[in-house]
Amino acid sequence: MMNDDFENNVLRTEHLPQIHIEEFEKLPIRYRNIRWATCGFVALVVLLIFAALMVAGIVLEPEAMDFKLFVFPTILWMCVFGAWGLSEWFGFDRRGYLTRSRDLSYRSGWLFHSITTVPFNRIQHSEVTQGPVAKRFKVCTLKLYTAGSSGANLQIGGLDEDVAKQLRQMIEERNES
Amino acid sequence: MNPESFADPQRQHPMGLVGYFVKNLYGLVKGFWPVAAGLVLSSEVFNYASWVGFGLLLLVGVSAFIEYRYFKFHLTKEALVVHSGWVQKERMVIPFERIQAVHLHQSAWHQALGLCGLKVDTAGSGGSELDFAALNKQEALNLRALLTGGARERVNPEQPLAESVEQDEQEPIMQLDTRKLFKVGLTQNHLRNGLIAFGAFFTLLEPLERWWGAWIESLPEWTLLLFAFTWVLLIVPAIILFVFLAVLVSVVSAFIQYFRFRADIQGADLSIESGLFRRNEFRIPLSKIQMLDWKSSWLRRKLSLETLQIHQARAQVSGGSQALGITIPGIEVEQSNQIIKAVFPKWNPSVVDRFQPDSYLRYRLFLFALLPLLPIGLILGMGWLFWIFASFWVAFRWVTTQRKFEGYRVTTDGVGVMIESGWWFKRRTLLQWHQLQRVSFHQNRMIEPRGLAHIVLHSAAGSRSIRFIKESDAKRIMDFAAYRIESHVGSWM
Repeated sequence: MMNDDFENNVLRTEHLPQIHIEEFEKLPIRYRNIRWATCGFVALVVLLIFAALMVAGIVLEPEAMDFKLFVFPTILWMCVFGAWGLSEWFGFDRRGYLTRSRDLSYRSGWLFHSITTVPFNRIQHSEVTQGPVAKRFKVCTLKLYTAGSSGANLQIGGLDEDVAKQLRQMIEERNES
Repeated sequence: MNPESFADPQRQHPMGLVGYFVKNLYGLVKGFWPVAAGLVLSSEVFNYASWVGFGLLLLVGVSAFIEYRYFKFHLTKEALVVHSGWVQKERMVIPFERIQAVHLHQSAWHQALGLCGLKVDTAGSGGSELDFAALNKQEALNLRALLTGGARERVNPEQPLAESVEQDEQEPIMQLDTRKLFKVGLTQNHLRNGLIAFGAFFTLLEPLERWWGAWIESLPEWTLLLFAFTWVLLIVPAIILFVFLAVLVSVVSAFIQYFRFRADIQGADLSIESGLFRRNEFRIPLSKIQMLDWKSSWLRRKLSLETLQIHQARAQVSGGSQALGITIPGIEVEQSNQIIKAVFPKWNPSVVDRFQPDSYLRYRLFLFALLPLLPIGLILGMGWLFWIFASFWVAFRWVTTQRKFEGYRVTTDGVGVMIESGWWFKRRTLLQWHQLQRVSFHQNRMIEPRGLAHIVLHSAAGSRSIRFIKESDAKRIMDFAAYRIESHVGSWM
């Protein structure tokens, strides 16, 4: 018995659906503000702890204090938070997600950047989380879990609440169908 | 076999109590033996040793009793249900379709009493999800048959474990006889085994310092003086002794671990049996296998042997190395091909596409190989001896890094992907595109201007990278992987 619908066409990899960087959707600008605020807050806390230790040293052991003691931690602080700041400055525009009919991709990173694609038919479960700061700014994180891992395999932070819910609903619908 | 016999909650065989007692005692000794040895040697505690020992045995006995008493299991139509715990009660439901594999094991005391231990692996666990300490052998075989998909096998409890499953007349895929076992032992990592033996010896020595210290003090003074002047002469015999003991440890451990090793395809399962004192029988459904991983050293390849690791889906535990993997040592090419044919029947080694890393990796490997010269030069000074050593090192590392670079190779037939790497220690991994869970593309500021990228293929059994390939190839692989995963109809395991 022959099946007239049967096809076995040549499939070339260049004809497969491709991921185009320009199609990625950007994250809301208020998420950038949260990230900047986090970076600034952590830098300030570390600076204050360092300053408190230095003041304590000057008060308690003034003869043991030396200018060199200030130099190394200050350079380290500048390097760490300088790199963090640069990655936020240049890296935010690289962050984005792309939803296609069968998968979800996420792009991130500046010095080290990556694109991860998770097909809907491999998602075991999904989760939307929101901390108190994120709640204030009305953004949340979508977490996707696939098999073979104990943690979330893809986390998209800074999504609009509505977008995150829509994405999650769409993933569940695709998985059920 | 009657599924109804497991319908009511039931305990394990009463000898399971012994199993738990031995397991807990072993855990206690393993965790605290240096402390215990130190305490025993202190005279204050030594006087109360019998009381302390009795107290600890009582504690272990009570915990084993509680563990046994409150562990009950039964089968429903769709799942294995286990109740456990006394203070903190736990109810675990493992649906049959989530079960990756069921393994049987028989220690010497199990064999003497006609019992079996049984382990259940699921994709959600890093190790075994569930461990039955002791079941009647017939009961264990029936339970395994029910858990792994019904009456695929007829079992005879009178036969030893290795022969208890239905055997076809045909030869197994592979067996390890004494000669092959010896080869496997000889080609193990002797340095690692020697260092482990060395470490164990000195760890044992430390708590006994009071005794051997007294022995050394009792030696006549001239022996110590003689040793002080002649210890240099003992270096070569010590090295020879270390190598001999390391090889001996390797061979003995190979015999203990892989004695009467047998790998076979039993219906839709891959069955592996081995062990001298403790017989293990692993049985993995072929459809659950996610990845095949071959490793070999130069010596092992000279004997036409490789080690094959078979990986199932797992939850990655911290450290990532404790996979639900089963090892086949000393496998030959033909036997490997038989396993590939059974596990990934559509894999066709006639290559459709082939990827190799860019030359950038060649120079990068070489540069990193030269880095040890920097601290050596700084510590020992850059005299003529250093420059002679450095020129030899540069020539040697140029050759080795060339070989290593040439060892990187990725081939795909559209169904599977084979990733090869290494030179002295070679590794090759075979995965199927449709079984992947996700795929990621990576670049950094060093390789992006050169138009290079890495691809990471994430399977349920772990991840494998394809590094330093052309960006266009990386994108092609990513699109192809997504296409293969998304167009696949049916289960991926």
